[in-house]
Amino acid sequence: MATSTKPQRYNRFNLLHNGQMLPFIVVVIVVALSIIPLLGMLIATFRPADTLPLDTSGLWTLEHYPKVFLDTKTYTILWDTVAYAVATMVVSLPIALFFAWLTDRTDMRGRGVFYTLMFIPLVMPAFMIAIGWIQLLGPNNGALNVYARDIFDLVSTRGPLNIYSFWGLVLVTSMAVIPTMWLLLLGLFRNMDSALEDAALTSGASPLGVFRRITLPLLRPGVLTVAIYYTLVLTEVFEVPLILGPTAGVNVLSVHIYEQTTDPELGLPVYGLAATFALIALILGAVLIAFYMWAVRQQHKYAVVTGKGFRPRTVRLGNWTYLCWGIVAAYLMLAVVLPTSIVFWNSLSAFPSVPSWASLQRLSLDNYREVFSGGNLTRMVKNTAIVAAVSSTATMILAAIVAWLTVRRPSNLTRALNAITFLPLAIPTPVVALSILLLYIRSPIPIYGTLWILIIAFTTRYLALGTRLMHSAQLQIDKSLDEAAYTSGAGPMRTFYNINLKLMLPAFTNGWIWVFAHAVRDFAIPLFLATAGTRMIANVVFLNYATGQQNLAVTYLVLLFVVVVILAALARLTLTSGRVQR
Amino acid sequence: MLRKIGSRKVSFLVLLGIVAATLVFAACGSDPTATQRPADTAVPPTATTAPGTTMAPPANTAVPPTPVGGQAFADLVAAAKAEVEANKTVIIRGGGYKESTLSRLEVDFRNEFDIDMNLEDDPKTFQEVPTVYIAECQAGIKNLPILWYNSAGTAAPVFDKGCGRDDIDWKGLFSEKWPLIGEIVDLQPYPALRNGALIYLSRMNVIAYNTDFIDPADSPKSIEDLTDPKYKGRVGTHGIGFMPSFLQAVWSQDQAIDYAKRLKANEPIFGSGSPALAGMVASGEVWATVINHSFADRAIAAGAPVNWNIPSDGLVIYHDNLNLPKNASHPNLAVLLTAYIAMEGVGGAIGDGEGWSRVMPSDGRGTLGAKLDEAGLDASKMVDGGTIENATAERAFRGTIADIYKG
Repeated sequence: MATSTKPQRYNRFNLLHNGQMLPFIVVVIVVALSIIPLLGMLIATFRPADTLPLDTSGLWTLEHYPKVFLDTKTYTILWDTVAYAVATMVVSLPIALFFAWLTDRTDMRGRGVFYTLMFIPLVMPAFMIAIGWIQLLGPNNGALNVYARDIFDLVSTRGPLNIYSFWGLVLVTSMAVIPTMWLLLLGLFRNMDSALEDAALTSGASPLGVFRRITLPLLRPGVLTVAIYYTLVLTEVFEVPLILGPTAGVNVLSVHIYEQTTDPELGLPVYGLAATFALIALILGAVLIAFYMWAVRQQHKYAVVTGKGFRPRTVRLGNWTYLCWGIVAAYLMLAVVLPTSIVFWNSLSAFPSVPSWASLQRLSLDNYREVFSGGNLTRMVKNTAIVAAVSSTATMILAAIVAWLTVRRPSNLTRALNAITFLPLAIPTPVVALSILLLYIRSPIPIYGTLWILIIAFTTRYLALGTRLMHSAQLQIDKSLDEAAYTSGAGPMRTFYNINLKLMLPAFTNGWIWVFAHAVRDFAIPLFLATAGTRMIANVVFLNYATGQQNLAVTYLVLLFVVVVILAALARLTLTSGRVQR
Repeated sequence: MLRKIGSRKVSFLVLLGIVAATLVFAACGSDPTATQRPADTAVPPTATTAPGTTMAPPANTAVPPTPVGGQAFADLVAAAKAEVEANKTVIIRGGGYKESTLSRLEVDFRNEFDIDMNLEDDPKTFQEVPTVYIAECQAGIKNLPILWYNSAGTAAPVFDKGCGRDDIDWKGLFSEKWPLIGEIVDLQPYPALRNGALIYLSRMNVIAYNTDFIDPADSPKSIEDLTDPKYKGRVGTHGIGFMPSFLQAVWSQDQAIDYAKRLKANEPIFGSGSPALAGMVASGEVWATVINHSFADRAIAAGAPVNWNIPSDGLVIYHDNLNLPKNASHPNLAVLLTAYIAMEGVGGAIGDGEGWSRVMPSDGRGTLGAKLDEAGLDASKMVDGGTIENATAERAFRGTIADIYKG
């Protein structure tokens, strides 16, 4: 491990030095991408109901601020939000950490299968997981409850389990977020030298002891960034709380904001009120960023890839293998097998029903025939693949450069850049999509109605995650490698490409796959920005759901995650060159 | 170690190859049917066009804009045909119809008017459409999708901001072809929409129930019945409370608040709208709830154990409109197709393909008429969900109901 030293500043890193314009251009692009939704949101807070943020009416108001900040209800919602986020974090982070360690640092058999299976919940929209769980554990007619009542001959016609509860909400959200956390944490493990772990194992420590006493402390800054990131994400996610929260009595900020943007039959949504509520998330984000910056200051203590014998090592699990597989199997059952089974079942049915011999008679392939009979499927798959691939590539390249700049050239400018890329995460997706629509529709470059506006929107949306991921990976690469490159005559960009980017390739790959999967399944952005010719699969999934054709929606979903799992597996094989199989 | 890094150079080059390929692919993947910003050449408004309206010809077409108001039906058909010959791709918005439904509509329309178009749906829900149309209108975008689906209350802002067509004489153009069109024009509750929108469906908030768990003879006949303790934990409702907020019109605000409190005490399961609640009733997770009758009908058509009653203590009715925007790509076809869908398509291609049950004043009102008679409802207990005169006050009251639900 490198010793802690005060960060030095190298003139060669100056953004504009020696014609090094690329970093400067990247900074401009990233700031432009990040500022647009922020501006859109801030402007919206001053616009009255029934106007858009850039409405030509010219009306302005302060009416939303007292409605939001002087209402005690706001603080009740905030309390529920924090409780929900913290509880979900407490449940999901340790599991994700454990899974990342199992996948990357152990000899657990079947890791490749586990790795692939983790992409299924990753690509499943969270609201479909929630609907799946309602059909499994709904208190009245959830399949598992019905089976339990039959098997145990229970008299009650309700329960015994109820998904509409605080812990039901936390459980379903955790199932949905664990794969992403796992993916984020995986990059940290892959860049971590195992010399200290080797020493501990040689000294007779058990694998779990090494994990707790060596691995975890080494990963602390990276884990902290993931925790901070996800605390913020959990204040913004709304699908699962929207479906389970109101009945469970848990009213979170994201759902409240969403309701402001979807109020039916009353004219335009009140975007101003939604944006003002979102300011709370932004303030929370600012606090978390300050905390994050504190964590970043510890970075040099944790640089573990030093170029001096870096060699990730596999931990032999021995008899622990069975216990580990038991935990993995339990998770896969809850997160993948049960919800995807019910989703698949419903894709074969005309309406949602409890799987039984009687309902088996009603199954058919009609939904699949309907989906494949249309001429739009090929175009939608093509659009989805292009948008997701370009967005994920652009996002991760920008993120890698931002991470490199912020870690290797600490200054007020790069610290501000780091913060700016973080902030859009706190802005609700409908507000992001609306801001992009309103600003780019007036652009002199005609990108409205093309795939480019979708690519820009997704890049804007996911830059925050990409930057967090690459930042934590960059933190673990010691600057002595850069110094060696400079001594050998390499310039900053060559050093970035040949040293940093290549060492961060595992994290880059994971981020690429994550952005790809999320761009494929995201509904809010295509709903505003896709047109007839640029429609994505997510459009028809949501449209079918919103028009009451849930059977068709789940059929598209089944096809969607089959396609994404295949593409993600191909991407992994291409980009990691078999590193997982080591 | 640097040698080890070098061993992955090929992989990294593959990555860069993907970037380059996808960028080129994306550049080629631009939407040929997308709306476009206009060229700076001004198109003079026609004599019969409403003040402030500019109608652009469809892209790549030599057909000049044709006046609509007072135009003979035959001329309209000819103009619509010319528009389609110039640009065969015709886009509509917000219907969310299946491709098979649109294909059937194309065929039926071609058989009727000998106009051969490729009908496509812009994939947006009714929530986004008004926002997107206003944004496009204010940015001066031309060649927009020709019509969109919305209830009057949701479509009104587009017209209020001058972005909807308001120059169409539906009766003058179509009374000879479809004598009953006057009835649906008069049904329009929102005066500002009368010359730009046409009602094609009416939907009611009915009590849907699962027949596996509730015997039809013992089914809830009134909204009040949903507060019966025997349905505790088994009734569903929309979380934002729009149903009681609308029914204040026939109940009073105090009664609506009291009802919301008693419903909350019955531990309802909250759903995020009629489609979600319809799915819950079909699956049996919710035994009874108030939803839009179209979604209950769709569940019944799919074979789900669902039935519905018209609530005897108050009924909310919505009129779904076909609305016409300014700056549509095919302005004459938009008028013709809208009238066709309202008078023929909804009872044919759309009714068969989507499961919607048509409600028209003079067509026997289908199953709806009988159910209305059975419920014994008179006009004093009916609320038109499309006539929101004070949206701000309505939103505030809806917030009060939602707070009760969340409390």
